[in-house]
Amino acid sequence: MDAAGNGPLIDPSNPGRLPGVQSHVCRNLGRGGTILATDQPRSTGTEKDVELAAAGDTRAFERIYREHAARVHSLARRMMGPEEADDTTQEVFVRVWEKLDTFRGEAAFGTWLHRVAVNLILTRARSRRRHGAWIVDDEEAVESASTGPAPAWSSMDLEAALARLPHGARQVFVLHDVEGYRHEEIAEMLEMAVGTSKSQLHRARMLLRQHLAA
Amino acid sequence: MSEHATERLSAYLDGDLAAPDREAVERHLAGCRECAAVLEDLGRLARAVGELEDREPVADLWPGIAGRLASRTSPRVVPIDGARARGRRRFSFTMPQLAAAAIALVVLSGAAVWWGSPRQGDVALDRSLPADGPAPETAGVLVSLEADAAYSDALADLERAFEASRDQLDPATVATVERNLAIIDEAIRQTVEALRADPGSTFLYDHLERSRRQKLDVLRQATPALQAT
Repeated sequence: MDAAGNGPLIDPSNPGRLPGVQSHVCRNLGRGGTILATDQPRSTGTEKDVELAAAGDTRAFERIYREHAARVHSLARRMMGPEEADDTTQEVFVRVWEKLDTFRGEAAFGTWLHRVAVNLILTRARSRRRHGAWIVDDEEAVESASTGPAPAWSSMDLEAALARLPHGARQVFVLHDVEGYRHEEIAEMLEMAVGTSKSQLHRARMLLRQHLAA
Repeated sequence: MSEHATERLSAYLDGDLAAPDREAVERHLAGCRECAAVLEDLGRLARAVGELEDREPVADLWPGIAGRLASRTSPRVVPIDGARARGRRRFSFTMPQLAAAAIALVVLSGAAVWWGSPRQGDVALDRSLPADGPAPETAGVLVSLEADAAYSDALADLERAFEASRDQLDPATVATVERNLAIIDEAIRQTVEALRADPGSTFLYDHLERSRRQKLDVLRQATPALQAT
């Protein structure tokens, strides 16, 4: 995928899915890597708003924001943590505004926007780590995770458990199990080996199990 | 079960194992309650992940986003000669510099109105559009222009700032600025008219954008000059 979020739409090895794309209710964990739903264009109204926004219409862009805010904010919250979610979400939509003229229409707009969001979030995450802004390192986080309470298996508790994961494991887990990216895609985005992505995913799942198991 | 074997459970759950490996894990699971329990928990985790729902941010983030958009160039407005950077820079022109800039703009704007004769009146883009609306095939372009709230807001702000400091500027300079603004307004009005007749003209569309930027630049440059005196 390029900086503008454009990239190959169909995975040749699995033409039934769009890489890294799924609806907000369709997750990847335990589904054999198969995405059950895709983010298709939702309405001609959205397409029209994209055209208007690309021409500078901020009211159309506000409608786009309203439609996609929950998904982007949830992605930012899960990837960056709740304390960074608001600012990251705002930055994503400012970036989308600036890049609207690069949207080529090859993918659904929601897919393109999601890729822009992922790219920006990963860039911010790398910057945070370079500057030491994240105080808790992976080992501390592992220890913290293993000594925490064992809450029920609810979405709310899962969200809280996600926030306690080490950053690397959290990113891989969210990208793979929540967002539906393949290990090969994650490895490229995070500049790691495919095997590392798999081991980080396993690590994340086992830590979440520790958090959530009764 | 070893750590390595547990990792195979993740791959087993994801369907990533080849048939021989998958069958080996299944044979192990049949005799290992610990690994069977891990697999069951991973399945529960999968169900919990499947139930995750996206949530709206608690606070409305749009006002903050809109505020940041106002200072940015709209997507299809390609900066000319670093116009985007200039938009964030504070100008501090001397009167001779302002006068020289205004004269240069007259020349530029004069070239911009070559296709028609000037008419009277201050014409802002939004007000220049007819109440009965454009023809269907032109609606997309014109509606997008009408709805360019970022431009309208920026224009209104700059006009207010210019008016507020008008008395501090030499009357001759104010007159020069106003003449330039009138020429640009006329260019904008005529371009909108021309677009109604020829909505597919990229030249006209680009020229309209240039004229709008010129107007913002004149106001932007003139107002700090007033503050500097």
